[in-house]
Amino acid sequence: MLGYFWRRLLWTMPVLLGVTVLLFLLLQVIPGDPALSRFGDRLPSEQSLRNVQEQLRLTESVYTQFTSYLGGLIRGDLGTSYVTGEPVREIIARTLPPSLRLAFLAIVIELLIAVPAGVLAAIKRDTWIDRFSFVIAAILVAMPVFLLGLLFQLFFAIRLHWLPVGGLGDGSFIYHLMPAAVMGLIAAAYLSRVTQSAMLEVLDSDYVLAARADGLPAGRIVFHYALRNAWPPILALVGLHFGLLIGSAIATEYVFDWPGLGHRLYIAVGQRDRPLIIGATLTLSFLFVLVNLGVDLIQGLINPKVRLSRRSEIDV
Amino acid sequence: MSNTLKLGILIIGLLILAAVLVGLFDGADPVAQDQQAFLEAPSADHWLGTDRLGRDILVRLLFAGRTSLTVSLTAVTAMVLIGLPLGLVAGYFGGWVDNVVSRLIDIFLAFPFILGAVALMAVFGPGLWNIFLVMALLGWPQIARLARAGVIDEVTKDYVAAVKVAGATPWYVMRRHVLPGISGPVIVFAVMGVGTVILAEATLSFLGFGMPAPQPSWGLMISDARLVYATAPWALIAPGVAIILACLGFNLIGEGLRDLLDIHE
Amino acid sequence: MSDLALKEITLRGAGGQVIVDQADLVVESGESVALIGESGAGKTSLALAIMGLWPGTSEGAMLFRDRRLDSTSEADYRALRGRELVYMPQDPAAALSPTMTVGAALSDVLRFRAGLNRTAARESAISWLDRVGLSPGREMAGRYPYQLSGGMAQRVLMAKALACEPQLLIADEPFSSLDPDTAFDQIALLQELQVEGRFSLLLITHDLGLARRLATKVVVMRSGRVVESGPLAAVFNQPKEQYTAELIAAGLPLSPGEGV
Repeated sequence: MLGYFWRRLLWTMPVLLGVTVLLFLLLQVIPGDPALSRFGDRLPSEQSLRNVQEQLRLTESVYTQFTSYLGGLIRGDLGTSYVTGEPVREIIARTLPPSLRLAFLAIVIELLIAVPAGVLAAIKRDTWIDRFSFVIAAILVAMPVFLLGLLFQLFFAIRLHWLPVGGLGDGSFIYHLMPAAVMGLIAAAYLSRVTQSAMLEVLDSDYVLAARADGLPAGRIVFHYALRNAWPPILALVGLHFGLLIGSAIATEYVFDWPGLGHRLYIAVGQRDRPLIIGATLTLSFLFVLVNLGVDLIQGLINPKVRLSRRSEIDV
Repeated sequence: MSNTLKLGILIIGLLILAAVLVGLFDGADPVAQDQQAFLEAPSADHWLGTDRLGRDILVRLLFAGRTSLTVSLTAVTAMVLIGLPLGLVAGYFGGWVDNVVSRLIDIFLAFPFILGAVALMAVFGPGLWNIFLVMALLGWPQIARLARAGVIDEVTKDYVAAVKVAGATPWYVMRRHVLPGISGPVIVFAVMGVGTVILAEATLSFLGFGMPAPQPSWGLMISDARLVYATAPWALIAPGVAIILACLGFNLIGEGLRDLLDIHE
Repeated sequence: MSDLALKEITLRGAGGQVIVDQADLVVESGESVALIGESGAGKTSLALAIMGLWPGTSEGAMLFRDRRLDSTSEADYRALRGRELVYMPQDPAAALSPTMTVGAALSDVLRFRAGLNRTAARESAISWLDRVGLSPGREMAGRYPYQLSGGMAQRVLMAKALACEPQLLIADEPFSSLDPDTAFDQIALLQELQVEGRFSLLLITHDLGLARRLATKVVVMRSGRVVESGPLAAVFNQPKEQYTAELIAAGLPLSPGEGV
């Protein structure tokens, strides 16, 4: 299993290199002179503009720029922001943790809503519970995350005054709750459908029939026999959802004025701050790939067949 | 035909009809401002009210529908036109062609869709054409992967292998055996993809990277409404409902087609 | 008193189609009855109906000892299943949850059916594994279904079926996935356990050799109907129905030297 893990991890390296090349090349085309962004609204003199251009290494060829960027990447250096002059690594180190806290909480909320809802919809198939959850899920899937964010803000913060409108505040849980719930709810809409279909399939299996014939309590059958075997597709989707969460984090963090990496990326795109755009996108893609790897690993832990069959052949 | 499919077709049909018809009214101008009516609640004059610049929300809504439908339908068409041939060729011929295409797919799928779109819009700048380009550029790998898997599935079937051995040209095998087998999943995926692009366009425009103001776009309308939503919630609700309906409509059609064509994931 | 008496049982599927048509069947206490017929004859459907697990509708009278099964509530049924009334499903590999160890599956039955606590159930599960020939039981208990051969999985099902001392065991196509040698051992084991446990047996099979070894009475089913029934020797030696005769003619012996 560990060998498999390392192989997979190793394989992500060329993929990430490809992502870097692609981003680097595409972002070369950004119109306008990045050096100008250093001066804000002022028009710089010829000489000072040249100085900044040299400092940002813009006078070198694309190839040289790329190799030196890669060299820096290997040392963990992501360059400096064109706009603030701050090392990109430090910006990411500062803004990533709040984003991750939000994402983690969103996944928890997603699971807490989607798994019970999906299980219930499977057990109560073709009843009003099933139909109700279908309609809610269909609407949420079609809803842009920023719209749900604005509606929550309007309702829970502005009208009811239950929750803060946005921002990190003192960093306490209550500030995390609304943005995480918004992201978690939308992800839960997809997941509840997958949970339901996975459960329906498993409930139809021979071993669930056998467990019923054994007279085991209904709850035991649903949770220990059915749900346990329905986890693999559920978890696979949670992994894929991490990508969805990263995407929705940009709009969510913007709506809630959350000082995370998504929000920072939004600002960087507005400013065409190339090193920061590349650094942030690369970091988030790397996380995405890593999370999917982690999900594979957990799949192995849950499904003993995946885990053990890779370790050794078992005698029969 | 299932109720899901009928409802989806009804929603999208009405939406397209409205978006087409609104252009026939002389007075319907999405950027015209009524200086007498800023942020008015829905009334007989302005059925869905006006926004903070005195523009009629219903008219803007319908013109924005044109934007949204145009960009999503054309972008998905482009995704299929790029992804399908690449996937077919990779799956059919295998070898180094497959290697190159598959690695490219891996690389593109390593960025989450919206993240990639936001980063690329920094390069391309706002605009309808650029949204289309970015969506097509980021969306094709999914179709290609689907097509590739479908081809491999078909080509390994005995009867197809027999036809190949008998000297059929690749073109013949594709047309007669491969395409019929994979067209169902690709169609379903493409229809669902329209909904995804609608959401993505709305998100990009909302963030200010998509359609440039004052062009009509649902995302832009919501971004506008954000400034006044505490006092004029209708300005937020109307475009919000429009996005949900459009996306829901395509999703319902996709699901209906999946059941109709009996496709299992 | 008979253990099981079915009178004019008619089963319909979800679409209303008749699956079993007016079937009669009696299993006397301690008796072994073979229910034979080709696949699709409605044997498994009948078994599921007896267990109260038939998803469609059913008509007719069903008596388990002195209890009317056809009017038993789901809650009361649950108390019967796995305890007095036990079903041993076909295809042992598919009948075990892939994510549960053998020991856990067996302990579950002992905990929830025999009312043992966690530790006692665990110990009892291990001793049952030893008893059905899966030794050492302590080590076998930690195995997952995919680590078992077909024969081992069948033994686990047998342990599960007998762990709670059934009154009536319905064995659905047992041993059909095993090679003849393994099957031979398992049949002997079942016979041995039946002598010990004194349960009655309803054996569902299309293997006439197996029926001959285990049963004293035969019920023949064909496309949902019971076409013939009676003592094994009488039915096998002088079949009244053409269909039974064909079935017997086509039936292969279980092992060499055991032909009809």
